[in-house]
Parts: sequence; structure tokens; C-alpha cells
Amino acid sequence: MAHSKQKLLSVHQLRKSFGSKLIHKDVSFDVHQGECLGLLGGSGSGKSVILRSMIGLEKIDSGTIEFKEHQLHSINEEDWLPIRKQIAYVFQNGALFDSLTVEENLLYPLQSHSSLSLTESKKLITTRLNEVDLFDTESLYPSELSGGMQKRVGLVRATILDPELILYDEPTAGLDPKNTNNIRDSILVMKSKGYSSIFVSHDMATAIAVCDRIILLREGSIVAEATPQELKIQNHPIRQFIEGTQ
Amino acid sequence: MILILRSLEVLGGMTQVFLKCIAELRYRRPSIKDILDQTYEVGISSLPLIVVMGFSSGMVMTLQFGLGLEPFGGKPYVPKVMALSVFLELAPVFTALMGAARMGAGMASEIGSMTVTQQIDAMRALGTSPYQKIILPRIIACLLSFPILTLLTCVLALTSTAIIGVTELGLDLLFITQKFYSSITLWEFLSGFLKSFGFALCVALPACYFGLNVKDGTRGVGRATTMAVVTACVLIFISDYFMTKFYWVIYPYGSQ
Repeated sequence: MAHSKQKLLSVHQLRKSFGSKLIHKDVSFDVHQGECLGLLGGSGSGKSVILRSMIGLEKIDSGTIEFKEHQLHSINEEDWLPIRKQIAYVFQNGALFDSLTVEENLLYPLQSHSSLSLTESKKLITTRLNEVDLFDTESLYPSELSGGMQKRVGLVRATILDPELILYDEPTAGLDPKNTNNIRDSILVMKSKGYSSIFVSHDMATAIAVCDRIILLREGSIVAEATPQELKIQNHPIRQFIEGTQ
Repeated sequence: MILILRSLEVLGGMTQVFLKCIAELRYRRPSIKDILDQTYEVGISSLPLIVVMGFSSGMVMTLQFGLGLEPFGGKPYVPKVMALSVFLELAPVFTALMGAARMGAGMASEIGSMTVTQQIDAMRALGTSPYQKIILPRIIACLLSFPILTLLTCVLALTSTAIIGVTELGLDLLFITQKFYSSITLWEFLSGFLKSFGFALCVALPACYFGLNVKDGTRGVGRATTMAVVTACVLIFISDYFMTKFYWVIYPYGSQ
């Protein structure tokens, strides 16, 4: 599909296996500035592995991953650190530091990377929490939050350094409809701010609501691509996948 | 064969953790607050256990030596024997074993839980280093705490020796303290004291290695904790021999 905006991330012929089990044999796609790309696929199809590869948590066997001018597939751990400030990873379970309060969780990336004072950091944290409907939660510990709230705190923590690309790893998995809507709204807020993103999920309704383009991963390769409008066609392969008829 | 390969893998992994820590120090220093927090966890929180262990081991060893040597008229040698035993072996080894049981297990399970719940991944994903925030403060805390705890064990064990020597063996307190003082040279002191730094690494490195490499969820955390303690104990016993041998090579007549 032709895209007028500048390419931000490019994955080309990615191949990855765990031992003798081949996960990806040939995965290629691009993400453009300001775009939200949906990545769908069955359980165990390696959707999360692709995201983890993009942030250096998994090493790929072959292929290339380019982010702006960086060749992500060939850089060492030390060179990853500054790049990870530009790519945010929103973990499926939030992955909050359970021994720290919400505020301390959000202070962690700020104190590590920004030059903001403590007062300015706390003000920013309150603002960002309020944007995702989390009021007066600063002093709470992750165990005192619901699953949906934890995911939203995880979302705020991942994006508080204003990254250029956000990787959402099944952000609505295991949530009730109300919390799913909250997460969807939070993602739309991020999208409206111009963040590019990759959205990995089984949740078709949210994917259609937030994504500009959706690709289907099956048997280690990308087998279909569509816009949310194109998915209205009854026999589209992605739609059939979602409805379980393929 | 599998056991040998697995042992080599563990040794290689721990060496890698150690080298990464050295490399990390070139780029970033852990915060003083994190080091102090961990030193409190490792050191201060272990005090009750160390007090009980140091005191009771000194008491029971003194009693055993005293009653065992009494038929041969050897009671006056008890203070010297105890001083040498405590400074050379008992205090550093017992403290390290207590450290492996309490601190090693605690560290391995804590780091393992963080690995399982992706908190370690989250640190990396946020562009920060888990070595700076998690691993280095724990290793430094062990290196700071173990020598101090070892000295404390020495003091407590010898205090209990003096108490039992006076009350149960009928020795004179002045005689006991003079024997302590004359038995321990700088060599004996350093021989035990310096070992505690090595033992600190023997406890901290397995805990960090197994914690970082947890697989299979909470079951894996339990397995990692067990392996960390077992590996630490094995390393303590094996390294004790080599460190003792090393001291004797560099100063052959030190303890004579």
C-alpha cells in the first residue's frame, strides 16, 4: 500500500526461531510517521516476539529492522539504551515495578533520562495520569490497582519520555469492556498527539478503532493487509481470521 | 556428563554477570541510595541471625573443645584453639553460609520474580540498565556487609567463648583474653577477613545469575532460589580451600 508519510520503521525479511521451532520465516512491513499499524495473528504466532525484537529484548536470526537511521538488528546492548528512549514498549501486564508506588514508577524513566526537576517531574506525572483518567493514584502501589489501571500506568510510564514509536503488546487482553474502552481512549489520545505505534492484539474492535492499517501474521509470514474500511468486506482474509472461519 | 556441562554453563553465566558488572561501572554508577537500601537488606536485616549464629556456635564449640580436651589437660589451650578456629574458618564460612541461606535466597527470588513479571525487561525497555539498578547494588551491598558481619561473628563467638570458658570450664577471664590477643596475628586476621570478600561474590553472583535466568514462571523462581543457595554453598566450600591455599602460598609461615 502506498503511503505518503515518511517511513519511521522498516522490518525486512525477519527470521526468528527458538531452538528448532521456527517462529518467523519471512516477515516484512513498514510503519510510517503518525501511523498506527495493527498486527494480528493467532496465539503463538510470534506477534509479541516481533515487538520484543524491535526493542532489542529478543535477537533475530536474520533480516533487518531499521528505525530512522538506526540498524536495530546489529547494534549492541550499550547502543540500545538511547534508542529505547525513542521506542516505548507497553507490556501486556503493565510490568510495573511492584516495590515502587505509581509516582515512583513514573519518576524512574524521568530521573534516568530527563533533566526535569523533581517538582516538574511530579507535575508532569499528575498531568499524564489525569489524561488517562487516573486521579489521585500517585501514592498507590501496583498491587492496589486494578488490571486496567495497571495497564494505563504502564502506558503512561512507557510514553512519559515522549517516544516516537509506541509498541502496544495486547493492551486490552483480559480486560472487561469498560477498561477496554478506557485503554482504547488512552491509545487514541496518544495517536491524536501524533505518536506512531504498532498495536498487537486479538481485540478486533479496538484494532479497527485505533489502527490505520492492519496486517495478519500466519505461519511465520504476513499473509494479508487491510485498512479498517476494507475489513467491512465480508470475505476479507483478516475478517475471516477474526471470525474463525479461516 | 550433563552435570559437568551444566556446571560449566553456570560458571560461565556467573562470570558473564561479573564481567557485565565491571563493564557497567565504566558507563554508569549505581546510586548511593540503592546501595544503602540493599546494604540495609543484606546487612542490618541479617543481624539477629548473625548474633544467634555467632554466639551459639562459639558457645557450643568452646564446650566441645573444653570437655574433649579436659582428660588430656588441654583446657588452657581452648582460648587459642577457639581464636584460631573462629578467625581462620568458622566466622567467615558460617557467616557466608548464613548469607547464602538468607541473602542469597532472598536476592534470587526477588530478581527471579522481577524477571518473571517482566520488570527486568521493562527496565531495559525504558532505556535503563538492570545491572545499574538491580544487580550492582546487591553485589556491592554483599561486598560491604559480609566482612562486617564476619567481624561481628568473630567478636560474638569469642565473647561466648569467654563466657563459657569462665562459667563452664573454670578458666580465668584475663587468661582467656590474653590468649586471644597473643594467638591472633595480622595474618590470621587477614586470612579470614579477606575470605569474606570472596564469599560475598560466591553468594551474590549465583543469586543474580539464577534470578536473571528464571524460566517457567513461579515454579522457576523456586527452582532458581534453590539453585542459587546450593551453588553458593558449593562455591563457598570449594573457594575456601583455594583461598586458604593461596594465603599459604603467599605467606607460608604465617600461622606458625
